[in-house]
Amino acid sequence: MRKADETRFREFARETAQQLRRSAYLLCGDWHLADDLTQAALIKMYRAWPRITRTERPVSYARRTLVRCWLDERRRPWRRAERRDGQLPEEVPGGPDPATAAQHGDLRAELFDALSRIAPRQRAVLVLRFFESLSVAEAAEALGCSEGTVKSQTARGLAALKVVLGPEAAPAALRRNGE
Amino acid sequence: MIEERIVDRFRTAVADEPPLGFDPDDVVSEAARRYGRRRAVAGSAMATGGVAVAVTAVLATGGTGQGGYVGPAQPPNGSCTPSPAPATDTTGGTVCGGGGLAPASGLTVRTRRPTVPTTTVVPPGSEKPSVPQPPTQGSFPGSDAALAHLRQMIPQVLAERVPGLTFTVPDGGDLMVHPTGRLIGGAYRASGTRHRYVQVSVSHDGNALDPGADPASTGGWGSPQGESTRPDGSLLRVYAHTEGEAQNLSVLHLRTDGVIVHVDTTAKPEPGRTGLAVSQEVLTAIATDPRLTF
Repeated sequence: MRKADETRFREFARETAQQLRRSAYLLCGDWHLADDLTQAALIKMYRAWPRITRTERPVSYARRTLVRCWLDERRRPWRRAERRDGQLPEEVPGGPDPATAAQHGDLRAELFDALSRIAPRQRAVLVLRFFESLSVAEAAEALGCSEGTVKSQTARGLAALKVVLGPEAAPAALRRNGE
Repeated sequence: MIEERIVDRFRTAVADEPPLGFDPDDVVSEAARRYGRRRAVAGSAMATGGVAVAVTAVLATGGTGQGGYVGPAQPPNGSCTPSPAPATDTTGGTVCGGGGLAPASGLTVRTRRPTVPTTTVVPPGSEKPSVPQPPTQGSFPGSDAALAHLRQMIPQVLAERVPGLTFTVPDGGDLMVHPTGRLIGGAYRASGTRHRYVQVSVSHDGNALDPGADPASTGGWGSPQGESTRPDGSLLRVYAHTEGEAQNLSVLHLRTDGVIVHVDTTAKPEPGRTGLAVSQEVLTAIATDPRLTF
C-alpha cells in the first residue's frame, strides 16, 4: 500500500473505530469481543483499502466486514460452548453514578436477553437499521442481501423483540421503579 | 412504537461504553506488518516455484537422461495428515487453504487487560504482537497432552469415518484450546470447497454424565431433533437449524465419564454442491468414536 493510502486508512481507522465497536457490541453483547471484532474488520479492510476507496464507500464496506466477522465468529463451536450466567458490570472510570449505572445495566441485560433470542441476521438488521440508522437499501448493501430480505428480517426481528420486551413501552427496570 | 423503543434501548446500551481496548494506530501497524509478511511469503513461494519449474524443465529436457522423472507423487495439498502441526501463514491462517484469519482468534493487538476474563484464544503460531498484551493462548492442566492426542486423532477419525472427502487443517492453523469447559476443537473445511465444514470439539469438564452440560442448554439451538440413550448409558442429541442458505446439523455425545464430543457440519450451497457435506449417521460415528477423548 502506498504511504498516502496508509495515512488515509489510519485516519479512517481512528475516526470509525469507536462507532464500529459500538455496533459490534450491540451484535455480540461483549465489549471485549467487540474490540476483537472491530480490529479483525479493520485488519481485513487494510488489504482492500486502495480498491475500496476507488469503488465504494469505506464506511459501508467496514460495516459489511464487521457483520461478516461476527457471523463467522458465531459459527465457531467454542463460542457456542460458552455460558452466559449474567452480566458483569464494566468498570468505567468517571462513569455515571451507581444508581444510573445499575439502571443502565438492567436495561442492557434485558435488551441482550431479548436480542439473544432472535436469529443473528435479524439482529444484524436491527442494529443496522435502528442503531446505525441505515435505510433499507443501505442495510441490504451492508448485509449483501436483497432489500426484500432486509424488510422481512426487520419485521420478524421487531415482532420477536416486541414479544420479549412486552407490549408496554416502559423498560422493565423503569417499571420496577414505578416510573 | 417498537422502533422508537429499540432506538432508545440501543443508545442506552452503549451510553456508558468503556474506553477502546485497542489503539487504532496499532491495528493499522499490525495490519501493515501482516500484509507485508504475507507478500514476502508469497514472493518467496513464487521464487521457490520458479526454481522448481526451472529444475523440472532441465530434467524434462534431458538434463539427467531419465525422461523427466521428478520424484514420487505428493499427497494433495490441504489433505488431512494425522501427525504434524500445520504450517501457518503470517496471519494465522493456513497455507493449504484453511479458512484464514479467525476474527477474534487471530488478533494480537489488545492493549488493555480486560476487566473481565475474555474467552479469546490465539492459535499456536500466531504472531507475537508488537505491543504488550496479556497472554491469550488458552490452556488448562493437561491440555498439552490432550492437544497432541487430538491433533493426531481427529484427522484419523475424519479420514476413516468420512470416506470420499479430505479436510484441510483447522481454521486458524491448529486446534483451539478453550480453558472454559476444558474444550479443544477445530473447524475442518472439506478440500476443494469454500463453505463446507465439519467441526469437532471435545470437552472434559466433569467426571460423570451431565445432561445439563450440553452447550445447547445456553439457548439458541432450539429443541433437539432427536435424543437417544446408548447401551452404555451415554446420551446422543441431534440439533439441526438453518440460517439463511446455510444449513447446520450437530450431534452431541454426552458420555458417562463427563466427556462431551460435539461434531457438526455446516454448509452453504456452492456451484455443483448442495446439502450437507456429511450425513447424521457419519456425524454420529465421529461423535461416538472412542478415540476422541482425553
